[in-house]
Amino acid sequence: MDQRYSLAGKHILVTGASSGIGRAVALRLDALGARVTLLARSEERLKETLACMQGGEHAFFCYDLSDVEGIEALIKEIVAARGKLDGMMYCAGDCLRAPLAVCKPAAVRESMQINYFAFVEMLRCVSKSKSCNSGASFVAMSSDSSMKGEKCLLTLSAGKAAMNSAVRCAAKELAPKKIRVNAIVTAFIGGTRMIGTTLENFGEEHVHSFFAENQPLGEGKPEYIADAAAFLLSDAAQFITGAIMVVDGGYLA
Amino acid sequence: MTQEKKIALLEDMLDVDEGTLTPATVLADLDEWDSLARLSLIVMMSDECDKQVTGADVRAYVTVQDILTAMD
Repeated sequence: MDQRYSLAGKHILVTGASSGIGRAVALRLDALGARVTLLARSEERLKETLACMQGGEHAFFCYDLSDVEGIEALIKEIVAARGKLDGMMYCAGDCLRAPLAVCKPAAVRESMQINYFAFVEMLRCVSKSKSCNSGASFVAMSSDSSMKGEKCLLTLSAGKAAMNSAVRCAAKELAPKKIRVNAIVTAFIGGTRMIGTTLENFGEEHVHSFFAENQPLGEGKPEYIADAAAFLLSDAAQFITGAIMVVDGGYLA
Repeated sequence: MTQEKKIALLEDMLDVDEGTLTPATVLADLDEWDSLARLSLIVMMSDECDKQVTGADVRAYVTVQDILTAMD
């Protein structure tokens, strides 16, 4: 087997691992033999994710990433307990759906805290030589809205656009250490909090007709994102860094 | 929250002149009552009134009074 695609034995941190895309990535990494450290706020949902994972040597940590100042200590704790990282998939995110009229400062700050400030701090901490191995790969879950304006997604769009910029800059800085940083962008994925609020706000009929018109390959599944993430986390993606990979069923095309 | 305060919040949210809305105002008669306004209302009711309403709830409102009642 071509070992470049293998994740066997690699220690990967997955944030937002309690549901949606984060959970799907954790399950995929498990299936590919990685050693996964899961991170999210909900212990109950983390345990549910863990229960679906067949391999051993996985662990979870409960943490609210909106506490940005505590991330440094968190990463030290994870590395001390589980060893250095070979990768990270950052799926934690705030997907506030609100028109400009109600984008008040507190809501905008809260959204930016998780989508951008926590991500940058996480990247700063995991990329230190005491936190990760050479050849480590870090992947950020971004959004098509970071590249194309969308009504009611102003805070998400701005936060993920900021995330994309951080990815590009960090990629250039970390390349000499053979550390890669990339992002994945997508639009509408079933089984996520984002699609849940979309369905609730606009109704099922509207959402399904929207897919038919705007996302040529139809509704996405979290597993499709997991496919792309596993590739980017592997050595098969060794020449990919600073990239914003589009995995969106044709939405942006 | 007083009725005056609630109406003021709605007028601000819809970006209409003070005095435009009365409890009897029919929402469908307002140009400003579009899908963005309905979404704004969901957010506003959560932020200002600590009320969680759904899109289906909001689509069922016919008059301003329906919204005022829900804001209680």
